[in-house]
Amino acid sequence: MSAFSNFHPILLLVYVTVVLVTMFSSFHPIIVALALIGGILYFFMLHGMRTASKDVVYYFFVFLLIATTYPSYVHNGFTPLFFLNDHAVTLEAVTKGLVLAGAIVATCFWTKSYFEIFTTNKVLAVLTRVSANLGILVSMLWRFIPLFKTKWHEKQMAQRGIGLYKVNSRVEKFRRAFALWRQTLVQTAEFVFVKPDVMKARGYGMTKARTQYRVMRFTKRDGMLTIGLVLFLLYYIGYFSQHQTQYYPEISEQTLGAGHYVIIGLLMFYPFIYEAKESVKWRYLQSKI
Amino acid sequence: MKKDLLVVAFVLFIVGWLVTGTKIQSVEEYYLTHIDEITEDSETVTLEIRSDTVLDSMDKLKPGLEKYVEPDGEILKKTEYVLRSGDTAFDLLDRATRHHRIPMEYQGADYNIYNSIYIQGINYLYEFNCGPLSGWMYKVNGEFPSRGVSQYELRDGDEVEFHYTCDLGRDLDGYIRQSKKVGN
Repeated sequence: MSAFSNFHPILLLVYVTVVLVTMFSSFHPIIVALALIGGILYFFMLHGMRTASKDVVYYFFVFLLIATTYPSYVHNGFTPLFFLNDHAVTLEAVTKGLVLAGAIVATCFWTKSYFEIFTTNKVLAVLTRVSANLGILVSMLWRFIPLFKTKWHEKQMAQRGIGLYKVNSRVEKFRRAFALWRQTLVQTAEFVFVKPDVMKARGYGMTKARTQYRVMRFTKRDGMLTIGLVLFLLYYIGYFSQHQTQYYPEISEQTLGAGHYVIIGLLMFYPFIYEAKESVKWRYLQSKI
Repeated sequence: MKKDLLVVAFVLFIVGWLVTGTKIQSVEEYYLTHIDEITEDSETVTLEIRSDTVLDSMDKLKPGLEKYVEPDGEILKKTEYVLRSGDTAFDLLDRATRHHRIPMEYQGADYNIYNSIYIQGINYLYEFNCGPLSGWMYKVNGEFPSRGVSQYELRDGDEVEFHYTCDLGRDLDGYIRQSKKVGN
């Protein structure tokens, strides 16, 4: 359980929007790096060293793939490094490729963490105010990937037990695993999409008047933080719409002072810091008798 | 096991194909070009690269590019080059831009439906940098050929000009719209 996830769902949504919008509207190397590191640190906090480092290794390869592909397609830029098949590979394109890859990987990590903490009851709490049907639909879609993972794991164990993978060829092993994966996908999809029909057949959603008990309250603290975040977002969107980092033909000069980096860094690292603070507090509160 | 070996062989083949198809040159190597000396009996053509139209529509130009626009609109002044047999307008442009170290980017003939090389940008000025109707066009002896730049074979005495347009060529001298106007 994460301490950060105890904030009101609306605040959580506003927070991740602010992080991603600041990152993409600036496209600034340092800000992208801050968002990436913040995302990865929080991910480590949620999953622990062992599980998280596996994902970090996987996303490192994704990062490399994007960062190397980009400059082989874009050749604009002031400083050519070398020429690949008569097209320039430039310093500017390489830099932009790195920043772009960083931004995409950072988005992946934030999304992964949010899938973990933004559980279906939070989806319902936010969306039921808008539309009850939308809430139930989104929460079911939300469940799709975790459900798929569980089912995949179950089937994998069962099939391994009855000897599906007892062949010498690696390719054949892979082919069988893929077939199993496809079957699981179809089954999960059916499960997710049939469920609403079943609920409807039982009469759910047929009556107009329906009451809802809300556990989550939007407290004063949540309100203040939300207002602060929105003001932050407005200020920096205004700034970056004028001063977004330009890469072609030359990387534009950065006029942002060091203080701004500290503020933006604090924002990006906030979940990590909060989580760390709470876990330290928890340690000290434990009785030592 | 046979299947595994086959897959390994296939992967090796792909890697070999990628390696042999890749040419890596250093900056010096790329710009090292041989320009023939003009002698009395050599056939010659002239080349000029201009971007005057940008000066009239600076408001449409992408911000940050202002300092890369030539103040007199001249990227390459009218220069005479020796015509090699079979030279197309693109070969001439490629040789001249390499010789003068003017950056030029193009899309290869295999990547579009016209089977011709397409000039994307010269001297940091790219297509769409000056409004949605902007890009590079070329002229031979005062006319805009209706062929791709790598399909036009040059002859002795041809005068080739490359112009940047901000309005699909309507802001250039001597451009006649090919299609008939429908309605009003």
